[in-house]
Amino acid sequence: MTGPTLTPERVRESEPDLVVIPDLPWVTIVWNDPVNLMSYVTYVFQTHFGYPREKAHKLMLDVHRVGRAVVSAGTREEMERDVEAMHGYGLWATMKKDS
Amino acid sequence: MGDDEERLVSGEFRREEDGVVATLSALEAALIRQFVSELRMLLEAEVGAGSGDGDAESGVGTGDGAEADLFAALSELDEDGPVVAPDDPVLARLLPDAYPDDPESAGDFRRFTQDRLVARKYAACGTVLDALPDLADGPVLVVLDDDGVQVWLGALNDVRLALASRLGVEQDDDAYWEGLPEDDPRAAVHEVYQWLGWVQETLVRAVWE
Repeated sequence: MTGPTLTPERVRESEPDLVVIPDLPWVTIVWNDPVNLMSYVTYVFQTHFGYPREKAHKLMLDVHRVGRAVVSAGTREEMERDVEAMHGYGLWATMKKDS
Repeated sequence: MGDDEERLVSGEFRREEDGVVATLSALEAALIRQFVSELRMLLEAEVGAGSGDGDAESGVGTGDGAEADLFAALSELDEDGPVVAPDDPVLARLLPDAYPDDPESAGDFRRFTQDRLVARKYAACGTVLDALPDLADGPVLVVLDDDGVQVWLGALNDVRLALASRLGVEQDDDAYWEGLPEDDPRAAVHEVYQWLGWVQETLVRAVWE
């Protein structure tokens, strides 16, 4: 029973990405590290990106539990600004072309 | 959080009418001074690391006049920053590669951003040091506005990253540090590291109050 339902779901999930990717080709990734406080990481996401506390908190938990999270997407120049800002705050951030 | 006993611990930041405020003991102020000064010296040595000619302009003086020299040096540097990560593991952690799988782009990014980042971190250390007297003989009152909070948070975080890097702190290793014999010098440094984390935590909480 799981097989047949899985395939259409995947197709549906991938559709929005196909629309979004050309506009936001680069992403900023923040990586987990053993030092940064969970509260501070949340604060940084709120302060730099202007994300609401709840979204910032959820992104922080992704970083903490998964080991990394995409925190922003945009042009290469925009992502370089975000990565530089993250390094300014002491967060471990990298960027790459979204795929 | 928030019970009355905990609130009396020295070093805690709270939001009050005139800003975000903490009263540090003389020892606590001295500890912050010491570790922020050490970080600032490390950053100072990194300024102009990428300018090849080693001309006099990029040399940074020591002592109180250093700041003016530093910014004079930086204005000369422009887009001539270093292209490889610093050797020192603390600086490498504070200034990581932006493109982990693309050394050329990582080098370009570093060339354009590193001197600016170092200058900002260096200036943040100076702001913290300015708020703390050299030799306090009593409690030190620290009052921060919103900009001050941001600068202190960044500087305390950088100091914690530096200490953790030197100590070799890893995820969920509290038991290891607690198990160190009392006379192990790393135990005392780790205690300061944890205390600074607590101070930083109260600073974030004060922002959210």
